[in-house]
Formats: sequence, C-alpha cells, structure tokens
Amino acid sequence: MSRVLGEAVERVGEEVQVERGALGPVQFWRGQSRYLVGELLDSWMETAPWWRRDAGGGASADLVAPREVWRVEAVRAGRSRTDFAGVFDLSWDAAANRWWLVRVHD
Amino acid sequence: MGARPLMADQLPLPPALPAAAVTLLDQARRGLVEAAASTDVRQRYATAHLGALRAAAAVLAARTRPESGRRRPRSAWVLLEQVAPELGEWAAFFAAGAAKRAAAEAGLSSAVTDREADDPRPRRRHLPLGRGELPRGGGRTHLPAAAGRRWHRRRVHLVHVAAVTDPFVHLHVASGYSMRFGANHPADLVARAAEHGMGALALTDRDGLYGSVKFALACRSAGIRPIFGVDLAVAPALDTTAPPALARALGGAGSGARPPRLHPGGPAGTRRAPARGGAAVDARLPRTTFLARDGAGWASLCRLTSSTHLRGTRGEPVSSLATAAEHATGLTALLGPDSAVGRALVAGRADLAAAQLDTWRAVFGAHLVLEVVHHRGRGDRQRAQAMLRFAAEHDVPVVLSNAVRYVDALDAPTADVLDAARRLVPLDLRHVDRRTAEGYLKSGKEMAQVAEDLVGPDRDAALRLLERTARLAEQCAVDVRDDLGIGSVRYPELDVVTTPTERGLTSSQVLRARCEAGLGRRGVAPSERVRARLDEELAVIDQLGYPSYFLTVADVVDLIKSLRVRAAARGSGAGSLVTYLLGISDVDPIRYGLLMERFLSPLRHQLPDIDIDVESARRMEVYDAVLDRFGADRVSCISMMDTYRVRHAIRDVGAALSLPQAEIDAVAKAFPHIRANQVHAALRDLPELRASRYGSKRAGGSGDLDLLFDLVARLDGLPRHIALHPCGVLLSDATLLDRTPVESSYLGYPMSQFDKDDVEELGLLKLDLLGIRMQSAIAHALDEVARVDGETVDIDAVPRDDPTTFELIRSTRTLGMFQIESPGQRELVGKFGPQTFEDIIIDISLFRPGPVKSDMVTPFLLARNGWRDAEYPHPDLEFALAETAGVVVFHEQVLQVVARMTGCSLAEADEVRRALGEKDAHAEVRAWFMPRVLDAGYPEAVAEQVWQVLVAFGSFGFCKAHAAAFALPTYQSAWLKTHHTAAFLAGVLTHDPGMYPKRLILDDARNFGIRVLGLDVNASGATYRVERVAAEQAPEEGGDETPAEGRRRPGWMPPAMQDPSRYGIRLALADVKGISDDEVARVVAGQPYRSLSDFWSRASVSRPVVERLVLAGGFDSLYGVRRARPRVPPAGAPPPAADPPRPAAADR
Repeated sequence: MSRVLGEAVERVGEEVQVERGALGPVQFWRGQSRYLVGELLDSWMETAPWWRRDAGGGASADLVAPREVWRVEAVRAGRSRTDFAGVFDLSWDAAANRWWLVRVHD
Repeated sequence: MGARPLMADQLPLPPALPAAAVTLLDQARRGLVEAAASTDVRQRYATAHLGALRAAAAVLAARTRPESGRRRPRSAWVLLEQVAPELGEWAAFFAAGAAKRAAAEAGLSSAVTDREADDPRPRRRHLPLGRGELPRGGGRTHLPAAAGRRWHRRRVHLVHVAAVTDPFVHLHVASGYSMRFGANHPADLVARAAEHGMGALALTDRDGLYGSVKFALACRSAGIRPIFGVDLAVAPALDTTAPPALARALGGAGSGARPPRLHPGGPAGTRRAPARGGAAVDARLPRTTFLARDGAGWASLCRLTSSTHLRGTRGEPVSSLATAAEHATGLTALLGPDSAVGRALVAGRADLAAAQLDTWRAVFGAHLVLEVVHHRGRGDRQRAQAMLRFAAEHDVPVVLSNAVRYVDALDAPTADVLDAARRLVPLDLRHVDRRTAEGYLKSGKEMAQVAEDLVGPDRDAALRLLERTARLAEQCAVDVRDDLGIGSVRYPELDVVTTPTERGLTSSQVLRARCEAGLGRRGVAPSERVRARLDEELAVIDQLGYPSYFLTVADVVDLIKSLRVRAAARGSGAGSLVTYLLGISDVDPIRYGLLMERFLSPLRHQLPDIDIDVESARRMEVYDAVLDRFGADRVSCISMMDTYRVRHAIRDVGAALSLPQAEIDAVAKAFPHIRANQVHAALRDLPELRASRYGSKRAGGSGDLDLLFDLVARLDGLPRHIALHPCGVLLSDATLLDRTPVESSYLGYPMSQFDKDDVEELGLLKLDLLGIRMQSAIAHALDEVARVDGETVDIDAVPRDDPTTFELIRSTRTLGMFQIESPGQRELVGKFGPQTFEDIIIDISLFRPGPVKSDMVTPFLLARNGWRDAEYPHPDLEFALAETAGVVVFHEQVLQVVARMTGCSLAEADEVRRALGEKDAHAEVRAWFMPRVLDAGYPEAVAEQVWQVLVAFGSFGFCKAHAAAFALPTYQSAWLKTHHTAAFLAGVLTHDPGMYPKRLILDDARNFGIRVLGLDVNASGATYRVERVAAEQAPEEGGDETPAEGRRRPGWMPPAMQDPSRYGIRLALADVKGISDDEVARVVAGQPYRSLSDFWSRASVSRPVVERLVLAGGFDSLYGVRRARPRVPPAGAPPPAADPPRPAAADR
C-alpha cells in the first residue's frame, strides 16, 4: 500500500531536507531522522493542475510549474537495509528549491 | 575529386582517444566490411556512407565539446570541415552524397549506380579504420567500475555530438490547425525549429492538412525542409477480444468507439448530439500518424484525408486500416503510444499489440515504423521502454518523437484549455491529455537527453534511435513545387473547355478564334485600334500562359447564362477587351476607356482575378451546374478557417474554467468584436470596459478575471472550426483530389481543406461566384414583366442612353437602385445630375470613403456644374482628366498620367500606382518619377503639382473597370424602375437587395402611384407579384388605404415615364411571420380557397400562422371584409403580421 502524506488542499506532502547528488537524492532528513538513499528506482515530472489553484486573479505566466519526483529506496540511518528499507517519493519544486516527501510506500 | 589520401599519422585524433570515438570507429569499420560484402548496390552505398558518417562523428567526438549557442551548423560534414580543415575535401564529397544516401535508403532503385556505390571505398581505405591503426589502450574497451561516471559523461557528450552534427527532426507535430488541439501557429513552430538549427520539420495535424500550405511557405522562408503528414483517428481493425474493462482503453468493440456507420441500429451507434460532459464529443480513438515520403505520398495523404472525412459522419473523421490500405502508396505509418499497438502495450497485452502490428505490417510492410514518446511523466519511461523492447522483438524500426503540441512549455496551459474546449468539459485531470509540460518543440540537444534517459545503459541505443529518426526524416522528401504544386498553375484540361471542332488547336489559338468570333457577336467594328488592342492583350495573356484561364472562366459564364441565371463580371477584369469579347463582362472597355494593364500586367505574375456576380437566390444552382460540368474530381468549394476572436475565446476559456454561464455571457458581450490578443488593450482603453472593472488591478479593475483574459489572449488566431467560403469555387484538372484534401460542407458540397490564400499559392484556379441580390431582383422583375404584360425584355440589350432613365435618377427617387440608393448617394446624384452611363461610373467612384474624406467631390461638382473651369496641371493631361473635370478619380487616370509624363508603359505605370499605395515606398517612387518628368520637359512646378495629386489621390482612387462593371446593374435597375416600376419594386421587395426596410420601399411604390395590395390567400404567392388594377377598382381591393382617385401625377416624375398606377404589388405569403417554405408551397398549390375551413383542411398550415394570416387580412377578400378592419395597421404601413423588414443580412 502506498500512503499519500498530508493531503491538504493547498499542497501535498511534508517538507523534507534533501542532499542531492549528481543523479538524484543521496540522503534526506525527515524531522529528526536521517534517511540514506539506497537505490533510485524511478523519476518523473509532474505539473500541478493549475486551474485548481486558488485563483483570485494572478497572471498565467507561472502556470506551468513542473516538479521533478524521485522514487527512492531509502533506509533510516543506522537501521538494517534488508529489514527496514522503504520506498519514498520525493518531489522537488525547482522554482522554490524545496523538497517535499509526497508518498511513502510501505 | 582527387581527394588527398589520409594516412594514419595525419589523423586529427589526439593520442588518447576517448572511448566514444573508439566505439564509433569500431562501428564505422564494421560498417565498411559489411558494405564491401553487400551485394545490393543501394545497401552498399548507404552502409558505406553511414560508416563514413560514423568516422566523422568519431573525429568530432575526439575534438569537440558540445556547444551551448543556439545556432548550430546543420550537418556533421560542415562541422567536420571546421574542426578538421584537412578533411574538408573528404567532408565535401560525402556531404554531396547525403541526398543520394537518403534515396538509397528509401529504396529507390535508380538512385545509385554500381560505380557510385563502389566509389567511396577507395577513399575509405585511407581512413584510420584498421585495427592496427587505432591507438588502443588496455582499459578502454573494458572500463573499470570506478570510471563509470566518467564514461557516463562521455556518452552524454557523444550523444550531444550526434545531436549537434545531425540535428533532431520532429516527426510528430501538431499545430493550431489541429482544431482545438495544437496551441501554436505553424509559422511559430517553424521559427522555433529554425532557432534550434533543425534542417527539417514535420507537420502532422490532426484530421487534416489544413495548415500544410502555410507551413510549407513558412518553411520556405525559414530555409527548413517541410515534411508533411496527418494524424488520423483509426477505428481498430481487429475485433479485440479484450475484456470489457480493457475494451475502452484499447478502443475495441463495445466501447462505442467505432465510426457510427459500422454498426447501424445499435444504441451505441446512434450519434448523440455533442453535449457538455464530453462522452459524445471525443471518442478518444487510437490514432496513427501518416507521413508522405514523396509526391505519390502527398497525393495519398490528400486522398486518405478526403476519404476519411467523406466516409464518416461530417465533423467526426474516423479512418480505418482498410481506408489507409487503399491509399498506402508513398506513405509511412507511424504507430505511437496512442495507436492501437501502443495502447495494447500499455494495457499489458503484448499479444494483442503483436496482432495489431501484424495487420498494420501487412499493409505498410517496411514502411511501418513505431514511435516512442517520452514526456517524462509518471510511467512514461516504462511505457516507452516497453515500446522499444516490443520493436526490437518484432524487428520493426522505431523512431523517437516528442508528439509536439506547443512551441514552448509555457504554452502548455493553452493546450489544456483547448482540450477542455474540444471535449466541452471543464478543466480537470481526467479531461486533459497532458501530464507534464514536456510536449514542446525541444531542441536536438534536449531530444538527445530524452533518448539518453530512455535507453538507459545501452551505449549505442540512443544513437541508433536518433539516427533512425533522422533517417526516416531524410526519407520523407516531398517537393513543395513539384509535388504540392506551389508556384505552378493548374487549369482544367483544354478538352473540357473546348468543343470537338476546336480539338487540335492550342489554347491560345482557341482563345484568339473565340475573340474574333466575339467581335462579330458584340458588334464591335474591327477597326485598327480594336485589332491592335486585341493583339496586345492576347500577346500578354500568351506570355503569361493564361489562355486556359480565360477559356475556363468564359465556359463557366456561358454555363451560368445557359441556366438563364443572370451573371455579371465585376472587378478589374471588365477592363479587358478579351473578357468583353468572350462574354465574361458586358462593358465595352474601348468605349468607356478602360485599360487592361490595371487587370493583367506582363510585369506581374499573378493569376488574374475575375469575380462573377450571379443571382443570389440561385447561387446553389450555379454551384451544382459547375460541379456537373467539370466533375467532382476537378471542382471543389473553398473553405475558410474561423479563428478564435475575443468573444468566442472568452466563452470557451470561461467554460473550461467553470465560471458561471451567465457571468461568461456578460463578459463576452461586453467586448466588441476584436481580436483575442487585443483583450488587454481593450480593457485598458475602452471606457465602457474600464467602467466594468473586469480588468486587472493595475488597470483599476477587480483583477478576478486576469487568468481568464490571459488565456483568452493566448487563443488568439487559433483555428476553431472550418466553414464553407461563401463564394469561392476551385477549378483544376482531374488531379485536383491528389492536390487538395476535401471534406463535406454543411450543405454537402465538397470543400477543400485549403482556404483561398492557400489555393492561390497552389496555383488552383479560384473563381469567386458571388450571390448578388440585385441580380435576383432584376431577374424577378423581368419575370413579372413577362408574366403580366407578356413582354420579354432583354435587359442586357437595352440601350444605355435612355434619357428618361437619367431623368428619374436625377430626380433622386433612386430607392432600390443598385449602389445609388443611399441617402448620401441621393444627395450626390442630385447635385451631380448624371446624364450618361459614364456619369454613373464617375458617380459610383466618387462616393467612396477616400474621395469623400479628401473632398475630391466639391471641386469636381464645381467644375462639372460650370461654376468653375476645370483645371489641369498641364494641358497634356487633359485627355485623361477631362471626363472628371480635372480631378483624379480613377486608377486608370493615374496610370495614364504617369505614363504620359514619364514616357513609361502603362504596365510600368501600374507598378508605380501600386507602389503609391504604400506610404513607405513614396520616397523611392518620387526619386524615380521626378527626374523623368523633368527630362520630358515639364516645368518643375507642374511636376511637383502632379506628384502631390498622385500622392493624395492615387492611393485610394477607384478602379474604373470595377466601377463600370458596377454601373451596369445600376443602370439596369434604374431603367427597370423607370419603365417597369411595379415589377422592379416587386423584385426589390422579394429579394431585399438594398439597405432600406420594406416599409420604405412600399412607401416609395405608393409615391409612384402603385397600389399596394393586401395579403390574400387566393392571390398572394411566394413572392411579391405585380397585378394590373383598374383605376376605379381600388377601393374594393381593401389592401391599400390610399384612394387612387384624386391622385395627381407627381411633379418630379419624368413626363416620358409611363404612369405606373395601372399596377399594384401584391404582398407575399413568404413574409408572414413564422411561415415555412413548405407551407407557402402548399398554400399556393391549393389556391383558390373557398373559405377559411377549406383553407384549414387543404393547406395544412400551422395554427399560429393561420391566425396571423387572418389578422393580416389574408381572408378579407373571401369574406368581403373591407375597411371595417380594426385600425391596427396605421395607414401607410403594411399589415402587422407581415414580417417587418428582415434583418438586412448581407448575402456575401
């Protein structure tokens, strides 16, 4: 099962700190715990449905805000990789340079 | 050639060879061995050349770094020459052979000879391809794991080199001409491709070739090779046995996805009306892209598109494999992720995909190509990789495309709005096709990255994929001139427009013979002047190669006249003696001093334009006759693209954004009819919109609708739907359907997908057949005269100097007369006092915005009425300006003035006149004009004065030939009004040609003494009819309130005019509100009626209409009802139920 984190109206996911390597995330911090990325499973692009954004005006120049998503296998630092590895979807908002943890696959 | 042999030590490769170069060299060497072993000439040539290309790439890989600039050299060979000048000759040799290689690969047997195939080999021997010659390092073939990342960079680098040297070609591109799908105009796509340094670009619009010509022209000016294709919905060929859950995704049976005609009767097959909700609007059928490889391919493309449109429901083109099979010649089919194969793979049904593939392969054989698209969305990579694997398993060539819909990623929201508008649904994820904004026109470098991302660790696969794509692009070579026919001219075959006795003659001989015959028929004395003029015109026509054009137009006019439909040529064509002698125009150009040069000039290679006015009411009959005469394979109507303008854009965007219907409506209606991209300017500048506060906060508005207006501006000018051009007909030879795709118009006429500009570019003969209501009115009047008086009037033969007619015109009672009935014209006519036909020509020309605004009218009237002498800048110009009292009114006069003063020919003078139309060119023209005039001995003051006159009036003068052509119906209508007033006004009332409501026309009739007879179910017909009335009979008629007796002949009426009070005009049934044509026909067929109940039972007219008939007095005569009628209709007005003036819908 996969779990979608914090499905609020505004934005999906919880913010995380990520250290990025050449190919993708290397490790990330979720709250106090550090996760080491083992394998990069997949990556893709997403664009938010711009028409759903709480409008109230605003020009259309920034309607396309592509976000890159990495699906990684990661394990909490210090845990055994064979036992405790999980699959996480990390989303990178390039414009704001912020990372979001959007899904956890148990 | 004598290329200098290259030895290993001269090689421009550095001692430490990059791994990539090694790989490429290895491949090149293998290719050469293969080439030497190959027995097939073409393959040997192609493989050898490919090897050379790889060797060049190896050199480049070793010596270059990817460039970051936008403009890049076009080909590997060009780059090679820059990087390694010592290899220049070698590069040139292979660059010259590139086209041959493409041809060889395309399988053209004649492309390569044996000798040519062997030619590259000796040269190749000097290349460093032997194993011994390669500087080899131990670790290069097996890279240590630690070097993995470096290797990775190398590989990226190499792919980039490939991209630089062999720029990517987009093979699947939709422009805005994919109706409500593509977000940009073809020209924008071409401009971006040129920026990327691409040598070629394909346009594969959905469902049609609408944009092909504009695309080809844009490509020509950008120096890009166009590739033509179409993207069609294809009903699945296989009856899939997919489970119901999958059937929808696969587009199989039961999904309602088949074209309705294939399973008639079934509830799923009946076509539902388009509805918001989308289900009935877009079946989301699988789609296939077809690319034309050559001229035959272009013809197939046209025919495939046509038959796809003509076989299905109008507006829902669905093709099938069977249709594609009929037109497979020269086409390459591209099965992408949205094809039946792609969808089966996505659904995990590789078996089904294989079965689909087999059916397609059975039709297209080697010309079936799979297409991978990688938009980097979630799962896209896996899907594309599945496609790649599938292609490898089944040994099908595979290419990379980007399924482009927009030029720039920023335009992606436009595509979303179009998706929603097309499907009539609000924006939502499930209604929008795109998931990422990657479907834009990517550069070669970006596409190389995509390939890279796709194939993963396989070293050569990315290169192979790109190369295969480039090769397919090379194979698609449709020549814009030879195959599309841009810049050529196509007429119907000579046999079609000539009689059997004329067989064997050339077109110019036939034309001359017919003109000679026309001299006699028109009664033109073959004087020296006429002969010279005719010879001159025929020589120009010959020189330009247009004899067939004139024969064809004459044929059409004859055809129209044989139907007894009135026809008249309009426009500058009337200035030609040839058109007069052929019967195309009815104005004698010699008598009225019209010049041919204004119409047809040897200096201008432009197909002349002859427009023909026909009776509006019988226009469709004319179309049918032309279709019959030339056959559907030579004739087609012309379409026009309706593009988004502001109101429609607001409605579509508003609906997509789910704004309330009423609000959208209010906003849309607040705007005038302007272009969509002027929306912001309008919000800012128009006071009523500023007051509405719709605009942004900065502009003092609420800012709530900023997003809406931004999107509206983006839709500007995008085609929305196609419509029948109101008057254009296309004539060509029997290959028309190979040159233009045709679909069915709403009325069922075949309609080309090209618009009038495209058609002109394609050299297809375009004929404008305009429906003119005045011609219908004249025809109706003539019929009424024949019916009532038994007198046949040949209006075209009536002498054009009837004094009574001019007297009536001068009386300003010109209501209903063509062109001279408006209040302004009546005032002018009154002051001017036309005496002759020439005066009418001048009158029509004077009453134009230009002359009125620049006050040319006053000096003319002053001189004309003798209050002032006509002034000429110089006595030499009197010959040209005398008729208009020294004022320059006509284009023709400008020509004559320029020709006289500079000594140039009239044709050159016409070029000068055209240049005068553009303000920018004035300085140049002046620099040409003044010295010549001074050289001719005119004083400087005169030259200056003439120049001022030319600048002031020359640009917006009027073409005299056009005015003369218009003056003819003017005179004819005036003549009819003078001599057959009642019949003429009945015609005007029936066909409503002018600007006045019927109320005023009826009033005018009363002023002439004609009685207006009330509606009567026993006497009224479908049209306004003339009846003879005895003078004392009037009171019983009960229609008109005006008593006839005691009426005096008005003073303004010309004494020579017959008193029209012997006639009455009977109101028409057709103007009863709500009555249908069928009901009118039934009423007329059942006449006479004895009573209301008789009428009720036999005419079966709907109840409200019968009620209105009663109220309007239609039964008064039956029941002897007379003046006791309630005073609902005030005196002088038509009965209340008679339809008040129809909205003056222009008929052209």
